[in-house]
Amino acid sequence: MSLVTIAALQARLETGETTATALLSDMQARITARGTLSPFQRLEWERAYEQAERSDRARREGAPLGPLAGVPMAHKDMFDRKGATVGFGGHPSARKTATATAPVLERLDAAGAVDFGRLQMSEFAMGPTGQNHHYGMPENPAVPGGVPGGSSSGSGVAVGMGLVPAALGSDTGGSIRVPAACNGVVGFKPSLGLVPLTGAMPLSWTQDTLGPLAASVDCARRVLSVISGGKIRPRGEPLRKLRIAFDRGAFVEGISDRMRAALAETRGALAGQGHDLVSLDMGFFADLTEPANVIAIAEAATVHADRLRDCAETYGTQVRARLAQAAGISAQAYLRARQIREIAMVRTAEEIFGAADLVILPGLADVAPQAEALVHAEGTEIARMISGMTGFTRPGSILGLPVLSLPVAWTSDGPLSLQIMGPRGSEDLIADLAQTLETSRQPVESALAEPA
Amino acid sequence: MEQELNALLGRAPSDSERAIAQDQRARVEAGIFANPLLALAGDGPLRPSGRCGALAATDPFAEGAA
Repeated sequence: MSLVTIAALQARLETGETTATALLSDMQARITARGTLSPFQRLEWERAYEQAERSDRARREGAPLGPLAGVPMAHKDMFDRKGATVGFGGHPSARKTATATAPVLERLDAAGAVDFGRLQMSEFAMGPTGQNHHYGMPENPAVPGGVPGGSSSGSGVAVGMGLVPAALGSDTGGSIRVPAACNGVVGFKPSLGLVPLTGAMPLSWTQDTLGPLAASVDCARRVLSVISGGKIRPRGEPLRKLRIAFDRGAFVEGISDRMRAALAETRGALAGQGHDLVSLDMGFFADLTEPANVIAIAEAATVHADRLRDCAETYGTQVRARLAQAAGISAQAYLRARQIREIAMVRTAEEIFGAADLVILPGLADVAPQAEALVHAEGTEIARMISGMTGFTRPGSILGLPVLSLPVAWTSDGPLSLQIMGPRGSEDLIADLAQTLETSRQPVESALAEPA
Repeated sequence: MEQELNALLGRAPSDSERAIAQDQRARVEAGIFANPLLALAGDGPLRPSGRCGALAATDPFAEGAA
């Protein structure tokens, strides 16, 4: 399946081969022909055609065009747009009509993007499988029977299906990177605080970030550049020689043989590019899983306190169970978790980024897990299922670091993705390195036959 | 626990919800209060000879290494 990129769409728009309105019309026809709304939650054609016509008129008149002029996009259903419905993946009673527009959408509008709808998500962005109690689960286009990942499930699926070149998601514990890895697309979680959260659904203030899921690193960095207000470069630059760290073993010991082989392939590719490879003990990252979870659940239960008390039965079983976990978290436990975070930040700065410019970690232990094994988890199984899917993404979340999820290999069972993580503010460097590692979307099982 | 769940859910918890909260409390003991990252060297103002001596001085809302 070929993905649609921003550069390819803009080339067609610039040569006059197509128009923004024609692209949108084609999109509408493709979505209608599929006969299902999934992975969309809502389609908003009227406003989208107005935006597309405005973009076409500006192009005809030779007026200045934004960096995303005419590019069709859709986003996770959690961003406010004045006068439009936002649903958060929740029960219909949770929907609201927004009274203002989120700065991230204003920035995309100003850049000329055409916003035509909202994408499915896990209920209130809580859940790494992509299963939604109220609306089901969008189908993973890269892994038959596999979960699409969450919570930005629709964003990952829409990009993975080649419907849009990029879609916004949010990431609190892995919600951009997990669906990116499951669907074989790029996911870029920025540093904490880089992208404004106003007008986006809150979940955990200490860890919430907004960013793109995209068809390529180039697409992801162009969108991140816009939504960060220009703090990130939209284009790559030649890399200097870097020190790139891999875990010595304890943190990644649970990965599959083929993920181990993908890591080895990547080490070889980086060495071939002339970078210095550094082997570090990142075992303490494993000790961040529970602190990250405690902070997320305690803050999420605070966000949902009134609604949960007033109408607990409108929450799906798994989300209600996760919020009930908060009863087992005392104030001291929450504050201790935050102290652990602070201690881990200092250790990461000294022990990891004192010795390396960037770190490479697995995204998941293997390809996307099969849905049947996960979506029916109940009771105390839920916490273990969530830990299993987010074990490798939690450190980047609790430490507030920028992380890019990149598919690096395609097996017959689906894509394998790695994470490139750096210190705060290293988004440009991460994207520059990621662009040198991008691979085609072809199965390469034979190349990964031998574990490292 | 029962009280916390009542306050959280606005009703008496089910057996499953009670089990989830109890499981979480056990995870907090192991993953937070006994977290290896808390075993800091150094003296703190409150427990100078304790295992977590320096922890007492760690501001939970700092962003020190950011």
